[in-house]
Amino acid sequence: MKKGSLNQISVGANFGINVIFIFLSLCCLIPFLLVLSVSLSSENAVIREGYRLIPTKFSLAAYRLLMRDISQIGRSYGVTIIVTIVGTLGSLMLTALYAYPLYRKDFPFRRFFSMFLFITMLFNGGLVPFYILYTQYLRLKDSILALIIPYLLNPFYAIVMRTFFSTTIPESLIESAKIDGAKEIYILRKIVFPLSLPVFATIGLFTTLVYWNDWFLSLIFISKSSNITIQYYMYKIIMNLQFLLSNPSISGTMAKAEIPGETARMAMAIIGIGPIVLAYPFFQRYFIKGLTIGAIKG
Amino acid sequence: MKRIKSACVLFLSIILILSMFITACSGQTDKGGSKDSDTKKTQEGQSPLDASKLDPVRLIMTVPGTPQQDQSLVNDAISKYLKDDLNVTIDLQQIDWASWGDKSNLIIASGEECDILFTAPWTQYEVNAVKGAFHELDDLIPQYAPDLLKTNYTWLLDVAKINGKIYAIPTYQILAQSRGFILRKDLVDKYGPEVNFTVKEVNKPEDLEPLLRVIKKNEPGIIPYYGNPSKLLSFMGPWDRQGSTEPTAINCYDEYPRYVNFYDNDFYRECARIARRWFVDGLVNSDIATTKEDASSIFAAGKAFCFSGQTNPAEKSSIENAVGYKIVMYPLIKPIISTSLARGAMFSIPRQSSNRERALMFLNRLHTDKNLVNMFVYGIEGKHYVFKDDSRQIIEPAPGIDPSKNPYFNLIWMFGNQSLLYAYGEENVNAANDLDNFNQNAVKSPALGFSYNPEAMKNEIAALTNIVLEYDPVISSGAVDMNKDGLYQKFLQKLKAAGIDRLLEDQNKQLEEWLKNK
Amino acid sequence: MRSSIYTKNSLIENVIKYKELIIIMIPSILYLLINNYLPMAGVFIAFKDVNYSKGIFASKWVGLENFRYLFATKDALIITRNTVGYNFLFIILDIVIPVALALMLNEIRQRILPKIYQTTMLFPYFISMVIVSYLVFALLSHDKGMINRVILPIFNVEPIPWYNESKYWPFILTGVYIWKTAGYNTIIYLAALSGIDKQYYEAIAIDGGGKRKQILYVSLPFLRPVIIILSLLAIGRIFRSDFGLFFQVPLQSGSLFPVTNVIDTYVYRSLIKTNDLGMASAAGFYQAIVGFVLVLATNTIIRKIDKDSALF
Repeated sequence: MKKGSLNQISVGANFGINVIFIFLSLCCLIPFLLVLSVSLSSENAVIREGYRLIPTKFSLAAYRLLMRDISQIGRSYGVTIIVTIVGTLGSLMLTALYAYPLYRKDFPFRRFFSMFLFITMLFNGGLVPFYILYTQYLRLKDSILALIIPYLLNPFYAIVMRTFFSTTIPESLIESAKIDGAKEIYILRKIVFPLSLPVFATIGLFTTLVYWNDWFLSLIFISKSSNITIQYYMYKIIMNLQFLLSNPSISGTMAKAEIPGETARMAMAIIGIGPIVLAYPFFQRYFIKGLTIGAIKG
Repeated sequence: MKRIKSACVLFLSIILILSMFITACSGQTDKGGSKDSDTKKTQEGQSPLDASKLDPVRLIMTVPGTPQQDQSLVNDAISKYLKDDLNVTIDLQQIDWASWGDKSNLIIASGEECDILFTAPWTQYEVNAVKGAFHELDDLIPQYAPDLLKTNYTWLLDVAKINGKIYAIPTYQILAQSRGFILRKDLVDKYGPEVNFTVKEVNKPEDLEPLLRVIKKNEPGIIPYYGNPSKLLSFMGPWDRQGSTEPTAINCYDEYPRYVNFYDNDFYRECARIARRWFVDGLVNSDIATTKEDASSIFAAGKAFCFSGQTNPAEKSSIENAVGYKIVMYPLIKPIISTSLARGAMFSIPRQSSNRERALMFLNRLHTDKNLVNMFVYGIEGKHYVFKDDSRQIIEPAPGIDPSKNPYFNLIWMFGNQSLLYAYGEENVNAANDLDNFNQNAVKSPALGFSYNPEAMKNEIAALTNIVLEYDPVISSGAVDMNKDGLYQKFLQKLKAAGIDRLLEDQNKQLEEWLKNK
Repeated sequence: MRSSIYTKNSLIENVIKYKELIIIMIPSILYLLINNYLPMAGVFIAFKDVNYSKGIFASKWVGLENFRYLFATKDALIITRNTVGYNFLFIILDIVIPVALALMLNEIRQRILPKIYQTTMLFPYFISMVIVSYLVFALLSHDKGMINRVILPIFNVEPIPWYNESKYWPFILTGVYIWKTAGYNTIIYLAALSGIDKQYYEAIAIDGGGKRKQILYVSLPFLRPVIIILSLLAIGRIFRSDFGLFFQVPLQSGSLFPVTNVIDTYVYRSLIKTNDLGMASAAGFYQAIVGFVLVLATNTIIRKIDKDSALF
């Protein structure tokens, strides 16, 4: 960390900015804490007294409900982690391989492929053809691949990546490398990738979030196997619960008031967020101002 | 070295794509394989009644519900049981309620493997039938499901008809529905005498009011009546309606059926007036028009005195078990059977099934074979349940099964004939009889069996649904005064502008046609 | 869109000259073809009256019939106005606020603090709209909500029936939207800013320029392509909305429809009863076409001003 750099803002301005951000952070944090608190309350207390920042009656019932099937939880976490990691890496690769040629101003097919990509962003045939493609032609029903492949190339991220390339990688670098006789792969590896770490970190983070938060793919593609992601697993429990709640004849001996409803939803949010919040700092270090570039030029 | 490394990058992506193709190609051959055996099986359907000539067939049966852990065990047991005479392997697959809506539509739209599919009006039975999703069963029933024509509920088959054709076999379950309030018994006992409270066979909401007021006065922590947008006063009437946003309805008490504008109706206006009075006087929860809370949960937490629900006597003990309080049922109507109620649970044979005949034979058994039905619902005797009292056919969980840990238990109203079920526990010993009585004594809708085809009015229905959702909850919950700023008039005007009269005309026309041909 | 417009070489010559780039793109192109273009054939569902026994392709062609419900009533104007109005506002806010936040975060002296702020500001993104609707309800409930119970009495104001008064909701929904997305969007701009070589700032500083000049002459111009692209892409989605925001958060309260009903929620409500595949598909197609035309138009304008920032 440089001290007393020529270009720092005044102490006063720094203080002001920090105050603003502390306020904003509180605005974001307090609702989250409320969610946490409700998830740790007894359902009965919540119905009676509403939401409190500190639970009036502490209870782990919501978590117990969601964590009941430990082996399935373990499996779902495993599935989610594999899907997220493989998906993110694969996605970064496919996206970068598409974005790089698009960034090259001398690439004559640039406009065509941009349009080719963009159309997929707006137009799609709907859920039914998508489902038919994956289950009947690709035969991926119940497979983990069906949880990975659909998000491998997100046109939005590809376009953002292309834009980042054009703002952070000067054409001159590419040109001089080509004059020196470099192959495109070489350019990619030696010039583009090192300079684009912030971009990859960003798109990587976003993609990770997409995979981690997804429950829809598990919903439509997985029926027989237990290859479901953790988000869908929890969503499923809560939905089944809702059904039982509104049909007294089948809820058996469990009294209604004790069945976690709202508290379960909150617990689901907490369980879902947890790991990602821990993983986020991992991506963060690439956003620091002024990192990277220097070493590469030359 | 570097060239090798960079080649790896490209190589990896190609691997990814290739693997997709490989999966696809191998998938294709599988598909081809199963197609062949399917066609073979269809051909054998020529002489079904000769059991010895039947080839083994696998039937995929898809229903909504919580997947049961021991389902595959039970499936095997059922298959073994049916092997000798039907020679079918049953593969019962439950789809979670969370995904049922999407998945059942996808099964129909994509044509994936399925031989028996659960359907009901609330899961688009009519819509899908008209769109050709299911096989027509009329010609097949006499030959492959003859017992269905000999039960004491054969009239149910007619009710399932659309345009004169049967597209699904209805399950015989509690078909009638009585609507009213569920009250907490202890509070009724405590405050009832003060207001001379009595419960008649059919009651009026106004008769409940004095009791509500007394409770409001004396029990500050309890909301007298807890409602939400799906359980308001206006739903507790003798109306044959396809769901809570249906703009038109038929009155079951009428001798001659006729569709009317549900919202331009004395019943509706009266409900709105009472609701408004209750709202203003603090007899209901203030978020009645928007809350998503389940009313019975609030009741079970001890926060409410009453809520609206189904006042079927047969369900009294299960409701009491669920909410943890003794209850009093306060019906507002005589039990009715409408078309959508009668079709509440049905099994269709989707058009993609190549085992129609066998599936139908199986369904036939499901309606007559006591062992079969009980296996589906309760599981394997000895493992999941045992007989507590053989003569009265009462069962209880098998030793070693903990009832609170999700033992095998399927939905009782789904499979074939509910009156064939063993009694689960002493209190249900008369369940089968009660079921028959309840159904038989109910008022049948004069339009029972009629299905309206909305094809021509799709656009009007789309617009009307939006308008109903905008105005109905606030008006009929009493949250907003319907006369304030001419709100109610605006509602009626918008309904007219969106074509409710055209809808009524089309509906009544189809109804007349159907009545003539009955 | 063929290459002949842009270069002097013929198509074949260009393919050969740039074959390396094309080969690099092949896996992604294949992916798009299979995953996106194959199912796109389903777009035709919008023009058909689907009958399952005939199959999708053999079903009857009905032209624009499935689109009618989108324009039939006066509601059509309201939902379009709402959709476009909110999106327009959101596009602007999605630039101004995250950029401001990113710029500020970059200036904080203690380098550990921005990391903490970033992390906490990302939390709202993870909270699903259903839970957000509960949280909003905890604030705005008529008799139990914090606002009516605690805050308004301080100012001697009567409790407000929030879920019945539509005039507050454009602000409420906008507030919720910003709360949920600002942290997430800031990341993009932070990443962009981190790509700026410090020498540019120092050059201005040496000449005596303060932060204001640095932002004006370095940061903002650097961010401009990103801003333009994100806005352009957002214009493409101008007829679409965040369903959770407009459906869940207002708790589906009918009194609020005039300001909370957008195209997506209207379509959803329209199809609850009929579940018509064709009509649903028509809505999607309608939204796509409008977005597409608008993007083409905007892109052409941008090309004239700053060729490199355009989408294509």
